[in-house]
Amino acid sequence: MNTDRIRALRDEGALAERYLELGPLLAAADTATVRRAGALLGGLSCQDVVAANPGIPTIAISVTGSGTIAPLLPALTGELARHGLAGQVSAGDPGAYALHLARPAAADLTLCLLDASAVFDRIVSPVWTVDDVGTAAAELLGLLRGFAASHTERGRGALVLTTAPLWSSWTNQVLDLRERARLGAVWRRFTADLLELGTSADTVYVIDLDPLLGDLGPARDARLEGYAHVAYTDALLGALARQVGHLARGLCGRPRKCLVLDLDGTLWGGTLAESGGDGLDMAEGFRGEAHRRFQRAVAQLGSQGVLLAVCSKNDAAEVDQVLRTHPDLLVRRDDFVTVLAGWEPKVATVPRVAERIGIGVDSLVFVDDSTTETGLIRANRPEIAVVDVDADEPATHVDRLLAEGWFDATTITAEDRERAEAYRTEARRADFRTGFSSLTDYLAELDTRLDIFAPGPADVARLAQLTQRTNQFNLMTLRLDESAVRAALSDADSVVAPIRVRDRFGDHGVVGVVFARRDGGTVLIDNLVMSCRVLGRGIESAWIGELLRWAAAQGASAVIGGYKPTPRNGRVENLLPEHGFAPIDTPAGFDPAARWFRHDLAELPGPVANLTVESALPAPTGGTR
Amino acid sequence: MSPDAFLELVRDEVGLELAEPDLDTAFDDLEGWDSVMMLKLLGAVEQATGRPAPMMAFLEATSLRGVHAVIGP
Repeated sequence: MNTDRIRALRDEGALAERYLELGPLLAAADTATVRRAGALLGGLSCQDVVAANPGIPTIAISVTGSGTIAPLLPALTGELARHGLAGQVSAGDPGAYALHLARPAAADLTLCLLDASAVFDRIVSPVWTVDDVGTAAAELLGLLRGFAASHTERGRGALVLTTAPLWSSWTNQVLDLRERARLGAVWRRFTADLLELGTSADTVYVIDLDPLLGDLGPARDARLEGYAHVAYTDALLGALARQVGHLARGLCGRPRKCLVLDLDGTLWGGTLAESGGDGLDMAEGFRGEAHRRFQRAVAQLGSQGVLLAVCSKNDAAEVDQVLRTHPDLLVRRDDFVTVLAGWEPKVATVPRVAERIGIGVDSLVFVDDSTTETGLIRANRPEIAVVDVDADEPATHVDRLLAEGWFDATTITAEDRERAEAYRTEARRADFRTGFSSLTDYLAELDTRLDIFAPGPADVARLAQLTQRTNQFNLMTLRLDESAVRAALSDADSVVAPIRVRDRFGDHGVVGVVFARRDGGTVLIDNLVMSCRVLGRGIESAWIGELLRWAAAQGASAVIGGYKPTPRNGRVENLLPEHGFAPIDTPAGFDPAARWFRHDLAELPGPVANLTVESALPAPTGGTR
Repeated sequence: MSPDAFLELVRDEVGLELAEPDLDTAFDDLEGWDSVMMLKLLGAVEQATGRPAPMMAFLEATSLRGVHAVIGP
């Protein structure tokens, strides 16, 4: 996203009033965008925000540091807005952190941004040895220990210190390689002692910058350091501001409790409805290993008291089967407090997870690879935290899951860890309650567009794949390879009508195809397949309706189609009768294993509400082409 | 970089709504300007042009016109 909307709000003078809109706007923003947004919020007073939004949590942050801290301020301001916290971010004098920390803290959160200069500036002589660094580091540590102690005693709020990574511009100044290694060791001991400070006192936190460095571009710019005493790049400051934002959110006391997971493409690779439990990726191969790592991270969260739940668009019995019996799954049915599987939109079912286990909807964190589902939830239930994962890059799932630190807590107790069992019981009770959602509202909002198009050579592979992978929504289960699809495309009597589906959140791509033939005055549907991903929107009805109207417009007298039962395609058993087809005896020469249906085209269906259909069905050819 | 593109960058990066004549206003007289903005702008210019900007010259400029001149065409 860009910051245009926020700039517009500022120019209208509406920032204070509409402050709570910033959270959703910035929810998925990168740190650079959040920083730019923060710069736009610079002139906004915390009092105005509170006056316009009574009850909003507020936090005053006072920043100090051993270098120039000004570049950190907009990033912090932006992160607070992102979490819906009214913030007052103020800065002390550059470099005057010792004075700043010596005074009793008045802010809710006092942040001290340390960098290596805090140690090296203590060395008076222009030249130094590793021992000098050790002495200076010990002095600084003593000073910080004193501040931490007096803060716990007399100050208020939280004291947050950062570590100070050691750059090569320092280590490379030591020419003796053994001494250079020793400098590293001395520095790590100082860093380790500093981190220990944050494990003992309950109002002191130390943020370790080292782990952040691995995810960034350069964390340091020699010019910024040299000319402006800015110790870190915006990339690192943005990552730090994000950490502080999580901490501020935690201090304001709105913990998230429950992780709601999608299954296909999220917890495991592949689509259960299409490939069955055996075809899912969660053990080996690029995809399988990546999903396994994700499952392991999920289990790790579960072991620390995070409630795990499932919300999946799948057949409930199939999901249950996989969760109970799949040999490779690392988080299993009993690890989940509740499992919701069905075909309703998730914007309706995810909140039901909270209802079932008796927690607030604002305690949920929802993970899904479908931008349609996550987008709808963001738009309609902003109180639910949403994590987007990319089914095509499951190796990034763990990072995305953890990036927002949704479950970070200042302390996790034994009770927290045991909480899951109590919730599981509550969920079993709630399993008997059901709710309904307004499907119409959902569809209207989705603004789904169905495009029935004339396929070209580039579509052959996908069409063949659809016939091979689709098990449930597959009338005749006729598997076609690419050459068979090509043959159908070049047959003048054949009509191949695939569909592409888009909605306001994105493009689902080519998700279904009809293979039909004209036979005299009749149109025969050889097969119809559709991916289960787009079920529940009336797409199949709009599609079949369009085919019927098209057949009638061609002067056909009837459309005939069949349903051939398999163990997996029970879902489409009544598809044709539901759309005005009447059962007929098996016509001569037709597959006797199928049930056959005929539509006489006397009454044609009207359009389906909330769907926009574009059709490029071919003009009649009747074999004349 | 054209003056318009430059102004756009300033607008996006530091959030100041400036017009062409503001390019010649001395930083001391430019409402809302502070020295941190210069650092922001430097980062943004480097990202936009894909090459390092001459930071010393940047910091020594006294107006946005001066900064723009330093970046080059």
